[in-house]
Amino acid sequence: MKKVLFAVYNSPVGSIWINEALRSAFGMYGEDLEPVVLFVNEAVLAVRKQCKPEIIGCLPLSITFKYLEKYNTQVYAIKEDLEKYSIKENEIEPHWNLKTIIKEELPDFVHSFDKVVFF
Amino acid sequence: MALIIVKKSPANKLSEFLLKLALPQDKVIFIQDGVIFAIEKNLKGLVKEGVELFALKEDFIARGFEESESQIPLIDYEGWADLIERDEKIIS
Repeated sequence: MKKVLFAVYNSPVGSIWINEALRSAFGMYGEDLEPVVLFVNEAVLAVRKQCKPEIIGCLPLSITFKYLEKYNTQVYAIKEDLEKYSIKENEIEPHWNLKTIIKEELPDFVHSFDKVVFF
Repeated sequence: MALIIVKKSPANKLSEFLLKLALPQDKVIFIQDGVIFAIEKNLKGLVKEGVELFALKEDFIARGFEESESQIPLIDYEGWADLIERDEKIIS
């Protein structure tokens, strides 16, 4: 089974990139591909409970939670970026079942995938 | 071994993020606005030892640069196609 990493670097509010990344990831399950999602830079803001793009009329992130759970899709965020935006443990939305990774581990982590796509 | 494709200019944070992912024996090709990296004097210092750097000639010239201004080898579309075919793992 091939592994594909969807790395989101755009902010979760004001564009559809994060929804597109998650939609693309879910689409992998029809093939022999295992998707993993990584939040980088401003994309880490998505993990906050209070992050609700629907407030300004954008697609909600919560519509993806049941699929994340159903497919057990792994979602990572960069630890240093969480700290940069002062996102504390208790502020993280549990549905993401978030794992963190430090920048130092990124090169090997990213190279462990067969394909890597940035959104 | 991977081929890393950098499409954004040095002003975009993602570009630097991608360069930091490169491991020895990886190849990096700069395309679109990424070709602006090719005129940077300390470009080699932005990546680890053993990372090969290329820029796409057509995109470089289209942006008004002279080939001689490039600090790294320029390859054309055909050369880029060869790189893609040779490298199984692509990070872009």
